[in-house]
Amino acid sequence: MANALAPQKQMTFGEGGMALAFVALALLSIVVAAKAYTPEYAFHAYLFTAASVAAVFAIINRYYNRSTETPPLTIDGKPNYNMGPVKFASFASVFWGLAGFSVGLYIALELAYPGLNLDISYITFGRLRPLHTSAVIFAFGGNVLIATSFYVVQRTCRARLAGDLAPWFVVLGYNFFIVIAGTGYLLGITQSKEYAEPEWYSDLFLTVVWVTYFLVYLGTIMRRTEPHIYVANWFYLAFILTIAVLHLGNNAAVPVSLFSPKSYIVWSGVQDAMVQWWYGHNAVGFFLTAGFLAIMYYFIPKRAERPIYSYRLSIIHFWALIFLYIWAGPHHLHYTALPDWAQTLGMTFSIMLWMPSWGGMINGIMTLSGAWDKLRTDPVLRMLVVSVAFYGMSTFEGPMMSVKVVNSLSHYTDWTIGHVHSGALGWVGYVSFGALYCLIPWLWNRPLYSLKLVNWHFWISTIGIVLYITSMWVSGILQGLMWRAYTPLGFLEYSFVETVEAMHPFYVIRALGGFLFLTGALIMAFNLWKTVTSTEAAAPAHVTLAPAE
Amino acid sequence: MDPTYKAVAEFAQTWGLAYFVVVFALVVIYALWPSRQKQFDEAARIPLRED
Repeated sequence: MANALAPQKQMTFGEGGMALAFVALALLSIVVAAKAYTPEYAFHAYLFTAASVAAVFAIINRYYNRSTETPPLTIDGKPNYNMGPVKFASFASVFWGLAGFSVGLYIALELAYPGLNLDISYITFGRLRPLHTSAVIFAFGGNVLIATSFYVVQRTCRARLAGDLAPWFVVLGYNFFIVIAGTGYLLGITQSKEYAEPEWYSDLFLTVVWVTYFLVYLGTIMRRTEPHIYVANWFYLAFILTIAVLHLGNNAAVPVSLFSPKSYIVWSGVQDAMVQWWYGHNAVGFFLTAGFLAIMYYFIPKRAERPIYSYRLSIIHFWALIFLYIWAGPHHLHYTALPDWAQTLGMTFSIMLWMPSWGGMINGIMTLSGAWDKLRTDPVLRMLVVSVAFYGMSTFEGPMMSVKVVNSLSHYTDWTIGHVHSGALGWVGYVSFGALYCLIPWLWNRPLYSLKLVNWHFWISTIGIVLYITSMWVSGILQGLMWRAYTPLGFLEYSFVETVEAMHPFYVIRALGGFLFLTGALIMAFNLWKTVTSTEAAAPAHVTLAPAE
Repeated sequence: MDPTYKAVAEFAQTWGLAYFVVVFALVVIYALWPSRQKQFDEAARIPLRED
């Protein structure tokens, strides 16, 4: 009797539609693979075919295994959070982090000992370098952002993630895009645009994934039960929306043919350079800054158990940051064919950016006022706070380097690499590690396996970062000074290869720094693995977070 | 110099500047308006509330 009354299980429109879309994509990919101009492109088409077929099977399998009703939005008045995609993305971030740091260490060693490329084209510096940058920024950082954003938006809106299959499509699709992009670099498929190397077909696929991400995020905010939209969500939204606009603008390319991986950008000459650095600098501003500031605004208050120092400052911080960042790109093109006024504009906005950046830093660090003792007792919080200190340092260094006279010395030297890594390792890396140390125990409802190991991770990595950035400062300034040294007769004092030779000891020190940073990350991966696999359930929050005496 | 370019540049350098200053002033006024203190204090506590 109960059976007869139970509603018939029906495939939702989303399930049916998506399965059909993937069938179509699989068929298209087979045709492309058959007619592809190059074997590398055919390989990618086969990957698309395999992934689409797997997606169809996964959707149908899920349909047969799920219960008749779609999951309820609330259970006993409490939101029924959807944490599956968050778990997947946090796992993926640790995996890609280890991969990206390892490749970084290897190319650092290749610079010190060029023979290490073993004359194999796939592992030359030129191919591994974009693999490293994309793996750490987009694969590691991107998965951290997707994981934390899906977590934070649900918790601060007190609502279940919008969409049924859509959140899964976002995390799996994004990671598939990373596989396509990364293997493409090794095989020599690239647009040769820094941080925008993937070719047109990967870009199109990412566009679909990213628009879905935006809709899922917006949909979750729209079903919120909390009247106010917490500030972290503003930063996440600015990050998602701006990256979509940047991605479309900088990848406005026309493919040679459906069967060729090669495309040509519609911009030309200095306009192309300007669009590229409008994209490139705002990838820093909105991907590596706004997104991770959202992490700061949620995880530091949560871990310190104190509200943010000034909510008002956070509002001014937000609007000032997004208004100013978008104009700073031209500082990457000082002393080029770009009009002088545009260079000066970029420099001026970069200097002004110092204010919101430090406003945000003060807001993050001062959240601990009255609870500074937690820095001593909680290494996770220490990692989060030190990340904000690194943020302050690199956002002071950046505006300084954007000043034209400073840039005339620093540009094209290792100083730039040092600056990027103080931001990437110190700020983005540490705030991500801190967030993962919080998030994974919360998601699996287990206590963190070992705080002592977090301490080891913190100190080993910090020594690594210090070695990295100081060696690059010295090497960069040395390099810049050698390039501009003249003899009394007006000839250049050093040949280029002499400046390269002079870099060798610093490259070795940098590689050592990278090795220490990777060691720290391996300790973290072990610690998080032991956390997830432990059988002990976490004690209620107020007991675990009691201050140490 | 192309007259359209000149007109656009001039507009951006004058009215564009004024627009940014006004928008920024509005943001600051919104954020610092005294009666919003309570609302912002509550908003700041959103992450700390458990469900």
